[in-house]
Amino acid sequence: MKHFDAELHVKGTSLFMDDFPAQENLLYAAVLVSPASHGEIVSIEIEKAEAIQGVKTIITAKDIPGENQIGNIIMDEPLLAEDRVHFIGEPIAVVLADNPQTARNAVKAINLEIHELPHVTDPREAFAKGMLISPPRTFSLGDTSIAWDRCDVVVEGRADSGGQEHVYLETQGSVAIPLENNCIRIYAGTQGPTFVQKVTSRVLGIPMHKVEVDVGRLGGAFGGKEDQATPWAVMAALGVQITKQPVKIILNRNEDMTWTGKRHPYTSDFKLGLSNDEKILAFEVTYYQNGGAASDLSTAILERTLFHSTNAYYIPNVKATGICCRTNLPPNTAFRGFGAPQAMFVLESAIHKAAILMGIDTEQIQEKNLLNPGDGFPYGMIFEGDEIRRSWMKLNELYNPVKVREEIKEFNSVNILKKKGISFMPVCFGISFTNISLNQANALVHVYTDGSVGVSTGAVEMGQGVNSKIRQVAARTFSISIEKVKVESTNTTRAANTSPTAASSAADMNGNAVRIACSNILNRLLTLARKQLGVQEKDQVELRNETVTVNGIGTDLLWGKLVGKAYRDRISLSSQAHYATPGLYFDSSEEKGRPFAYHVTGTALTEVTLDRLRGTYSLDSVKIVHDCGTSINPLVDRGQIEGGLLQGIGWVTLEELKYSSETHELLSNSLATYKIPDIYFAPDEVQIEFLENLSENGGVFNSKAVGEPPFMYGIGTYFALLNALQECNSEIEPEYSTPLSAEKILMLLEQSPD
Amino acid sequence: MISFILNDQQFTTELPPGSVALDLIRKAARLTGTKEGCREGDCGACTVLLGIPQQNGMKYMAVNSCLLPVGELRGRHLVTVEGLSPSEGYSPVQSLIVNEGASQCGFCTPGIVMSLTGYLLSTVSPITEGAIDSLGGNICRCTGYVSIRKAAELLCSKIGPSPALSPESPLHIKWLIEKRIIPPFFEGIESRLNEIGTPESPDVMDSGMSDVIRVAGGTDLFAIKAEKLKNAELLFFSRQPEMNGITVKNDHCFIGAAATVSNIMDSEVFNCIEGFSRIRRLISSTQIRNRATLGGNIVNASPIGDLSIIFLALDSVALISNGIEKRQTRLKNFFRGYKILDLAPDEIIEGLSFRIPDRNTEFNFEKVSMRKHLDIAAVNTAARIKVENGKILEADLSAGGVAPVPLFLKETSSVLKGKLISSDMVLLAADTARQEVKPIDDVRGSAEYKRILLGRLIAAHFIELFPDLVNVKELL
Repeated sequence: MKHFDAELHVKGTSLFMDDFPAQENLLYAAVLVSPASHGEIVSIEIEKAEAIQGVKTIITAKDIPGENQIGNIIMDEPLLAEDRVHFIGEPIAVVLADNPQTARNAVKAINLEIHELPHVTDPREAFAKGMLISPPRTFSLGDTSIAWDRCDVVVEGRADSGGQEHVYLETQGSVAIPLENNCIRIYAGTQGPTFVQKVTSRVLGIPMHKVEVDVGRLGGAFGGKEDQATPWAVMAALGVQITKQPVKIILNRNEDMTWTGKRHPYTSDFKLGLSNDEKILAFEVTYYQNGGAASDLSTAILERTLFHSTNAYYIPNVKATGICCRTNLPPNTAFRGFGAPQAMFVLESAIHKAAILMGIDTEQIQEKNLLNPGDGFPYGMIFEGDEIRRSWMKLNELYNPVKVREEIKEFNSVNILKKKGISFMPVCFGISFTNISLNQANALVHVYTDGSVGVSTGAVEMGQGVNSKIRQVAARTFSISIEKVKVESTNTTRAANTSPTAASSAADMNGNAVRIACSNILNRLLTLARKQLGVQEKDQVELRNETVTVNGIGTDLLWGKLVGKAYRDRISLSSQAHYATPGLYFDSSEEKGRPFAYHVTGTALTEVTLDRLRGTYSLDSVKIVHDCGTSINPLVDRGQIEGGLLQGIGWVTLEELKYSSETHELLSNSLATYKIPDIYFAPDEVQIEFLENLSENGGVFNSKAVGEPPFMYGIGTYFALLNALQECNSEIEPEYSTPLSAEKILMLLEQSPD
Repeated sequence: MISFILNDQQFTTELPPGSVALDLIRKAARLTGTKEGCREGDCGACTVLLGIPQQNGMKYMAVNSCLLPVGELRGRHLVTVEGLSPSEGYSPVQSLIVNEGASQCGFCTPGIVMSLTGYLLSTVSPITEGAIDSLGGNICRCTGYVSIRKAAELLCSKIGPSPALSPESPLHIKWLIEKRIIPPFFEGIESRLNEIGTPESPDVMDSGMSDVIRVAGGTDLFAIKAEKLKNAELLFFSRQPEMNGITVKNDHCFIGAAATVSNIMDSEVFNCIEGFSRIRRLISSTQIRNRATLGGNIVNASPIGDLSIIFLALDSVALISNGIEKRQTRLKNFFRGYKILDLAPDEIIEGLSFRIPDRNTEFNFEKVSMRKHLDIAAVNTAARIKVENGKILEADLSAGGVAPVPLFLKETSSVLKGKLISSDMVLLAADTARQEVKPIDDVRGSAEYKRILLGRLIAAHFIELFPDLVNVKELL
């Protein structure tokens, strides 16, 4: 099985937002944004800019006919700032001109006066000042207050994780065109077409049916286009409404990096208690999430942090509190893992600290406390599978970490300049949107009279291969060749009221909807075939490889013929189907329920080599045993694991967002200053073993979701590096702070050696 | 008017020579397979192949089209992903990428196809390591590179060595056509370019024109101020053979200012200097190395320029000309202050000359950056040390990222002279270096970090060059 879109990509024939031929009369948008982290808008003078030749018009908040509001969960974000700005990059005005350079020049010609106000960028400071996006939430299990007395070992500390820029290779952008009757079609670079439709309708003051949103493909997204693709799409639509001309907006890399939100930085306090035999008895944690200036998806992300506070471990007494803090950064947003990586980093830090205190290897604590079938999570759900322990055991069986440890000890004892380190990273990630309502999808399937098939769903192809999987589901359900199936663009007129392509669940839910829709048509076709062939009721009639079979024996009634006959007999060759993930509920007053369809688990073993002199390192290997259920496309799933892993490694090592200390403007605002992993940085060896599937899963055809969980294997690299640092100097006291940059490593090495 | 061959079609454009090839390709020629990812040569999504006629054959190289001025296309062959794609089926590079799952969102993929094909066009003995290095300038955010490396590896093992002696020879092109790596029209390109000819070229030196901007590789100029250069009057060095030669005379080597990093790294003289093989991959990416020049790196005066640091330690002499008179100055004296050079507005650097290290002379280059490859250093340093019986006869050390200029470490170098190499001596040198520099806090690191790092990299020079004379434990 392939990632079918690659066949277009390698020839350069796949079309991205900026690749479509320009329409006649096309206007290009450029955006004036706030240069200040916080301030009052004193004046905006646009006359001079508007007079520039080629400038059509300049739109400010007062030109918005509907509601100036793009909020998702909480209504706290204007499309265009009115009297105050809250972050650098907050849109204030949109210039429309006949070419992009003129539009950008005109932006520079706008006279903007801002009275700067003090800004807050540290979430703890925001918390102290009462700047919260929503009230704190606490998930608990057992009673930590009485558990501490029973603990032999208690460690406390702080763990900080940094933000992360998405660096989707295709920057944000949208094109909107006018249709008759004041309708608008938006070609949007979004993971959430329905959300763009809804917000456009709100801002433009027109009903949703007048807004059609179409998504062909995205050049990467990773969560960064779930909510944050919306403003640009709405601006384009607003431009169309005002000018009646098509409008295109494409951010350049620098704009995209400076203006849009990132993975949330967190700063957290932890307390972990264990018995002498390494059993974790109690865990308390407080997460201060840096939400940025508007809520965006922060509250949902924080909720997932709370769901994953105990990761792959059973802890009988837990108290996890999450605080969503409002600061003057661009609103932070969804990014692969959606709050879970931040939670897992804190617990792994606590375990690491306990292991140092107890003088044992971290994996002793990890292994002892892995979830067993039947163990409960703090949110009330029971861990139903056995995959986490099985993945750990399989990893041990395949790679013999005990021997690896010995080899590393040997290497480290003879090498002075280089030291190796190792870590284990178990991951347990819940699959489903934690907002229960979002766990629904729909599909529209047409079989054309020549036997070819068109499939529309709410899933957006952004590289993750969802379209390949959907093609497979349709082809497999009908038992026709994959070439006969085409996946259409994601369009709100064909798939309405859809959830964003997020939470790793697009293939599960849309795939299941496609399966149901195809089955509906198939059943009609088989009924017709029975009639046509005159078989008896006991006979089993099926379609196999485009041939109708009776009791397993082929007939001359082929797919194409059957479809043609169905059309002539006036039998519907189309079906729309809806899928809602079963069995989900959550009571947020108690913070208990069954929020996930299932869990995806796995374990990673990471080895690194540290250059003790230069403070640099190389990633020797990452070996992973991962639970994909029964993968329907191993090539795609392997790609998701490899790609997620390296993004996770980048998050904890290379990728550092640097801000000016005074204005707090982003300094690492280009690919020259914000470095993401390149081909040399990737681990020398990556081994992936799919865990044998022994159970029924909620995914389509018994598969499991794969998008997000592998990201968190990357956390293992942080702890492998810490391990190597400790091999240089056992006294090193790490701060538990990501990213562990080359600078931080060198400064740790400078701590006096043994 | 600029005429060249775009894929298999002759193309004439009236775009100004200072506009960039990426815009010509995507807008004027409407070939959208070439993508814009960053417009500063840091992602590789816009990678294309530039074919330059040679005396007998064609030389192809992968370059970033976002940094390539249109003026450079005159009389040359520009190849985009559309030009490599057979109308039916796929080239082996393309099928391997598909089969290995080495493309996900696909935005970087055309660039990866171009880089791998460019690699096969630039070597007669493809090896995995080289193929992977050709992708050093291609960022992929989706795949994690495992599948891309696999595709590169399979490509090399599948294709094997070329029967040609040189990648520029027509035989090599023929062989690549047979292997379906490139389409058949490549064979006729050389003669078609001859037919177009290079009309009276404006690309000549005229040092009297002070408002003219001289462009060497343009890899920094076009990353920083492409808009300003768009309609400026430009002079391109790349067409002046006397400016890009590398010649050896007795024990001296002369490198023309327009020699690219690739030219330098591929040259025989550099392959003979011990310690140089490691350097190549530390300097930017294949696409940038194919364009960035020695002269550009020097006059750019970046305090962290890799070549400046290397040639400072080689105690190079800059040959300077104003078109009438020539003069020489030691590189050590050339950098006067932040972006201030010992170079009058009407002068240019013609090249550098340096004494080739003899067998008693060791050379080492160290660089630490956030990311090891295609990144600007936090600190870089080079050392040229002549030793006899463990005693230092000559020492020239340089360091970047620690001063407003590419810094010759005058005091550190002089402290070393005449000393016997020992751990104590290395510690003294590191200490001297730390005191000699004035780093600042910036996006590449704190001043404190850079100072500490420099001391450690000075030690690294000696650990690399004289492992038997120092005690590593004492240097940590």
